[in-house]
Amino acid sequence: MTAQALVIGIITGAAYGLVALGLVLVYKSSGVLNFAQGEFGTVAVYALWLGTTHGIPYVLAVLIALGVAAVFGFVTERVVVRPLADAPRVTVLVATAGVALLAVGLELWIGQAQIRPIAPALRRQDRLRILNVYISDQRLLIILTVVVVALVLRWVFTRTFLGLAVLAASEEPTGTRLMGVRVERLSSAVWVLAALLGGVAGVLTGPLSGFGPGFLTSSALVAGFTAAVIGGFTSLPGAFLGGVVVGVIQSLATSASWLADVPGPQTAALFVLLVVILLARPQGILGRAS
Amino acid sequence: MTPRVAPLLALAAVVLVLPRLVFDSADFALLSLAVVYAIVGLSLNVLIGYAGTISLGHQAFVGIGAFTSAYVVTELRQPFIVGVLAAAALGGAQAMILGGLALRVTGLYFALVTLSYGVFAQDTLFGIKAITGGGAGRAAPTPTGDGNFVPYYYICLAFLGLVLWLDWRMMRSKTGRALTALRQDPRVAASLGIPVKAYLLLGFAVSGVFAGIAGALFAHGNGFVVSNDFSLQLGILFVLMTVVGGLRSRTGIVVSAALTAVVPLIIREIPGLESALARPERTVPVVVLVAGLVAVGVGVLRGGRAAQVVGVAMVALSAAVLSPLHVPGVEPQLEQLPALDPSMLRLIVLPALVVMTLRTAPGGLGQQLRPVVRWVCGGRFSLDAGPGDLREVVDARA
Repeated sequence: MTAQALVIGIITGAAYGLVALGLVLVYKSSGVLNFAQGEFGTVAVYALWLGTTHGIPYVLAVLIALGVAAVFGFVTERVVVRPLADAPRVTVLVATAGVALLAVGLELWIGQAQIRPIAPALRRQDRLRILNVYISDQRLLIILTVVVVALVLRWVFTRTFLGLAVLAASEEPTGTRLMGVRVERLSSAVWVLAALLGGVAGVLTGPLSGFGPGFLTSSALVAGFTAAVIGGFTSLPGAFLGGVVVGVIQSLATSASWLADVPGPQTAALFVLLVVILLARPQGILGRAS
Repeated sequence: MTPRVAPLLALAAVVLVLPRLVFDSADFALLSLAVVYAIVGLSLNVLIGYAGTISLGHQAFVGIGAFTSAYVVTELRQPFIVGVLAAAALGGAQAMILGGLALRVTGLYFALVTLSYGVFAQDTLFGIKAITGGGAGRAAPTPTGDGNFVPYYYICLAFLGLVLWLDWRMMRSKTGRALTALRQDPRVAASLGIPVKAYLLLGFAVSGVFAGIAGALFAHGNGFVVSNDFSLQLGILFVLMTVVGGLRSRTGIVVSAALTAVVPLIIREIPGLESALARPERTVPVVVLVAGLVAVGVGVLRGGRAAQVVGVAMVALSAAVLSPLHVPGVEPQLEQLPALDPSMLRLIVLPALVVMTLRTAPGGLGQQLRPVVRWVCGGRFSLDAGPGDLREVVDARA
């Protein structure tokens, strides 16, 4: 039973990890908690849905959807985040929450208040069977994606000029500018990248159990934030690890018999987990104490 | 300064008499909601504006008040006023517990705790069947009789008056000065001998009491409470309307919150707007056209080439759609757009206003209204309302 919960936890946690990676990316480079991260993904799923219902081939529709997410991220950075560069971080947080609400409003309008099904990229449902849990190809794809993305981002931030410049700009914007780096462009790049990640998360998880207005925000934003906190909020592999921890704890909470009478055991577990982590080890598992 | 009597009387007439003349009795449900939102805004203002912390889980504060009052009135068979008092007490108590956490988890991390708390309340706390009726919800009879919202509106107004008075007295007292000091710099405040933790907890308690009252009024105005009423979306909406109103400005917040609530009424009263929303295939190109013109204007003024290019493209496309020329592919798509519901419009307009507020007028609506308020309070009328307190959503503890 517990082992089964572990397997389920790991496969759901991978999706949280994907959202958490986007959150960590933005936080690492600008210190902003991005409440619109979930909506980057939801918008992409809506674009995918519109595309596929208009007869565009799936692969092309996915690319268009990711493009829509990237544009959304770019516009968010230019219109909302950049003008508030000198404002307190909580102000930017409120502004990104506003962006999220705007996206939900548009989704409600275009797609109405309905949960809709959408075809997954890979259809086979019973590829693997571990401890009586069937794992679909789509789930395997999510796990693969999150591992690859985490490793690639880690490489970018430790080995490439772009990543080092982003880190430098977050530490010392003026100094970085004096070194000849265009800090504004870096900010654009980071938000586009984060939006792309959000888009990937949306396009991959949307088909799992259907999507509605704001679905990724309600299903994965809190879990993603918790995962990021567990990981230390600056560590990219930590975000993935945190996602798995959150997924496992949620699935243990759902299957635990002593929690059977508690309504919404998953969210209760998330809240308790977040509070305990913040009280006991605010720097997370892989983060460094500041 | 002695307040000017005539404008105050005019204000009283607008709030007390005008709705009776303009609106049907059925509309008073929404007007009561406007008053409830105003109280919620004031409650959030205590946390964000005065105490300098943040709550993205305020829908939980309001929901706890709503379910408490509904339970007390329907299960314990107590009168309405007992329900409101119980809601205020429990609202204050739960806020203090959360405030205890805020003492240990500061800044952005506390924002995450409140976010998680709001979702946790909706799923878990409001799912406890014995108290909240589970997913089925709980009845909360309107004290003035079913569907009789006109007197209920005045009851809500009385509570708003009470909250405004308490807020005003608090900020005029030692507590208000202590909260101001600890928001601006907790360390300096502590070194001046202000017990920072105690006052922060007090701020949470006051905010919780206000939210509890608002929740009770919400429940009994609705006639029914279900956990789905208190979603994360609502919590974000509360924060946005408070910020647009202008932190630390009672007038601005009350106006902004009330307007947020009555958006459907406003849309109905503006001639042609309702039918325009029902035909988005004509309205959307017009909106795009205007937005494009604004983008071009801003681009020219600030020298942004990208804004100019995008703006010209938007103008050209929308003009082509609006003209007798046909744009293949676009018009049939526009025809398929569903009608725009007023409640969705709220979700679209308010974020745009927030971004505008944060970028250009951090003082919010309150800053704009300040000359008028000062004049009504007996000061000289001057458009220069002073710099105000421009530190908007400052988290002194971040």
